[in-house]
Amino acid sequence: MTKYLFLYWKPPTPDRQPSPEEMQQMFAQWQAWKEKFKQQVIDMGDGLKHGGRTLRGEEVLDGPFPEAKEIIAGFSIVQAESYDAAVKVAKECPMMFMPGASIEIREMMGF
Amino acid sequence: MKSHESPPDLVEHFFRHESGRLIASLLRRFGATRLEMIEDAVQTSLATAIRTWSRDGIPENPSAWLSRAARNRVIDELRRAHTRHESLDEDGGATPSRSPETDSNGYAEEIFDDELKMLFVCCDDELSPRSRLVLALKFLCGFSTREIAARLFLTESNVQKLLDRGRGRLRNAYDPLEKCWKDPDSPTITGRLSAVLKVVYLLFNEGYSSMQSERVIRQELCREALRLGEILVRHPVGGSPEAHALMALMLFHYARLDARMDDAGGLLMLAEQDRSKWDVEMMQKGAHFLWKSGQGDHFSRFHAEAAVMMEHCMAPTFEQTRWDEIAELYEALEKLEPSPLHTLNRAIALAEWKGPEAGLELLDSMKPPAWLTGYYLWDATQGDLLRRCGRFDEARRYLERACEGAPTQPEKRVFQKKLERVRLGDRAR
Repeated sequence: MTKYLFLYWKPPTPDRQPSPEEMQQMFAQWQAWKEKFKQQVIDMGDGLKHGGRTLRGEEVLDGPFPEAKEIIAGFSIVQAESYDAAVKVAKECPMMFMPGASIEIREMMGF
Repeated sequence: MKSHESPPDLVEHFFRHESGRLIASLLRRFGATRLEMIEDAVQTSLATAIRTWSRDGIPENPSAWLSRAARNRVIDELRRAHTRHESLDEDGGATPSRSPETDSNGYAEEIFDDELKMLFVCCDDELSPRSRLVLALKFLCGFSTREIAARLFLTESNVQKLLDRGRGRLRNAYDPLEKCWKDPDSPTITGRLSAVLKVVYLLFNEGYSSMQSERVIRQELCREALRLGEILVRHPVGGSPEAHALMALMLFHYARLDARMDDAGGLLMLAEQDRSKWDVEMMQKGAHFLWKSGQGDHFSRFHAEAAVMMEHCMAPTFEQTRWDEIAELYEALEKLEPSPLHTLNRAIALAEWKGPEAGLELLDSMKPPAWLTGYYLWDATQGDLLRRCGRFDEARRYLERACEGAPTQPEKRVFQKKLERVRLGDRAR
């Protein structure tokens, strides 16, 4: 089994905040996803706050580039037989239900 | 290997209701001037809960978890604002500490108290009934601007405007009301109660008058009204006889909700409804509240309206309804809250009791205001009573006007059926 890093990308500012009712639906979707792929999703990971620091040479920059069209909003770690199998898991990830969001799937080196 | 138990589920609308409870309790704790900060903190806490709970599972007491998260969030914000400005804020600089406060037994009662207080604040005298309703939907029911707009048939920007103005009023009105709150006899509180009951009933009617297409989301409003009603009656400040009567009225209506529609989404008249579809449990609950509303000697419009509904609910068939009782109750209503609509309803009951001529006679003796004669239910009642008296030409004119004025398709179809019967010369009821 190979491990994959799921990187969740989304637009920096959503056009509107989800309502409590929508958030409860999102929660149910995450729960169902985790349950369905419990052999694959070995770490739910975390969400990432806005902003941050970027260090380049001597320079410390505020945040990811402010002009970025997409930012990384979170990550999970998934194990699967192949990229195809990992894509199958990603396709049903609730992140994909958010408008403008995408999932980047990267195989880990396994050092 | 561990057994695979499915994770416990949250109760329906948990987040939505919880967001209302959180805002109400944080306002008491941190003051209404911090409304925006509090709303943000609640939003963030719910978002955090999604991630944390889907990773670690739902905590044993999700309400307490959220309450702690939101409270700590506000405290962090206050600290941050404090350091940023390096000056004392209106608290004299005292930033509250992040105490891991354990939940006492009084927690649930405290929440009910906070929610009810919030409902009273939302029903502020300076706000229009519509603004009060929108504020209650936002702050007690946890609906978003978009969700409110969809349920009240308003545009999002209109809801936003009402909310912005409402928030402004709420910030100023919260503290004065809070000061009176401990004294249930204070005129501010007792005077506000009838406005609160009206908003709850308005909320109920918004849901009750819904048609097939928007039935699911609008009926939710009925359930919200019942939930707010429960909060009212279980509290010493809100649990007046009148509030109990309102609960009874809403429950009797709610019991018949599903029986009002046929399978094609058409509206069924009382006489056509399948009474076995009425919800017995709801009716019993309603009867219980109506019985409790009899304590004290105050007989309000809600008492009279609930009593009418109870007559309908108890009648085994349409024909066996005690129309004499109903006619008298409408007469009582006319005295309690004069409205030609009560007279119109009394005419309908009279027609069932003594015949269509008696109903018409009452209508003829009325001096209806202009708005009533232009109202489709006036035309519909006139038209149908005239049809039953065999005065078909007049009946046709009224029913045609009722068809034109009907605000919904299902109602229009009801009047078209009556017109068809006029054409056939059918005088039967």
